[in-house]
Amino acid sequence: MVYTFKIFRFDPKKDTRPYEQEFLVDLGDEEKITVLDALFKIHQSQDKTLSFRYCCRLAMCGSCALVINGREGLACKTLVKDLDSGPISLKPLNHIPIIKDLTVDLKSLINRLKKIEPYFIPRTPSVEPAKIKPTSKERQTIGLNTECIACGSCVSACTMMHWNPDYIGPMGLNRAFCLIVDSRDLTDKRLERVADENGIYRCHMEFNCTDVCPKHLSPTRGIHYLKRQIFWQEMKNLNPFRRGRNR
Amino acid sequence: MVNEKEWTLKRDAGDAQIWRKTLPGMWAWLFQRVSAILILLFLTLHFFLPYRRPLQFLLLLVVAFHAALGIRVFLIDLGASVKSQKILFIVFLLLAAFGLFFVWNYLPLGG
Repeated sequence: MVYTFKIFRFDPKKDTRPYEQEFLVDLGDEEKITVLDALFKIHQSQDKTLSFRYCCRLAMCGSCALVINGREGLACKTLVKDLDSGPISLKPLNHIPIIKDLTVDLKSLINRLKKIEPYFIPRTPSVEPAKIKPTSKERQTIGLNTECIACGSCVSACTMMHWNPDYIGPMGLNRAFCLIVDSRDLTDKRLERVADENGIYRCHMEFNCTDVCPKHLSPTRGIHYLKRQIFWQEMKNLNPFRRGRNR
Repeated sequence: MVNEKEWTLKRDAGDAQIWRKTLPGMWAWLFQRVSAILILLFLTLHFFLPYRRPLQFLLLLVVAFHAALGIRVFLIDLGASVKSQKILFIVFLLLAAFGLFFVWNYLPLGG
């Protein structure tokens, strides 16, 4: 079966403006052909200058995240047969600078993560591995949000990124949530760092991040958990009878 | 580089495909913002034209939807499961419609 792909093309070294290029690809009758397979075929047989990113091909690494027919998704996981009939549009992720064609510069994603120190800092050093019961309240609160593969789909889907380029974004805030809820983590200032107009208060609950996440996570859940934490902390601070309150 | 400018794409509001892919969470956000602006508009008109039934209906309509979606936001802020956000959108839209019908037909509004 022949599919039509309309692919975003742009080489900053040569092109003054982006444009769309159409490719006709015969993908046969195989049911499990993915968008990534189609890109391989185009690259091998029609245009070797087409630039796109991939790595594991198993929906584990997040490298191949694209905007497919207007919706963020992983090229290696999206079956061509599941897409709408008609031309298939492929564009790079939104809100992230474009290097070439479908490849974006992930430095901007990493810089957003750096703002929240996205690494675990142990409160108490230990040589023994941590024992975390699956039934523990903290583990259940964090849930699957630790499974984030940092593909950037949520950042691309979030319209708040459009209005505020300094917004940490759902990916960074999700990571902050996982670390803040973890009582083993040392950094007490992490919650304060995300409690501003470039952090959790920029989230207006559109749920686009939750809708497009290929791992079915909900950064919105994490962000709203943090909002509640800050709210109750501030309520306690307002209580004049709170023990130990500095006057 | 021919083009020194850094190119970044944004979600194109003019792309019909984007709108077809828009899901309830985004619609709820959009309806609530648009209804807020419409409340300001209709309320202002209502001050100058207080006894116009169509205007009263429109004002009641946008207030009902804005309030219903606001309650949905409130519930999610308080900790309602994010998995329920789509169902809450539909349920509260229906509650708004029901509330509107009830208030318009059964409450004395001085019409």
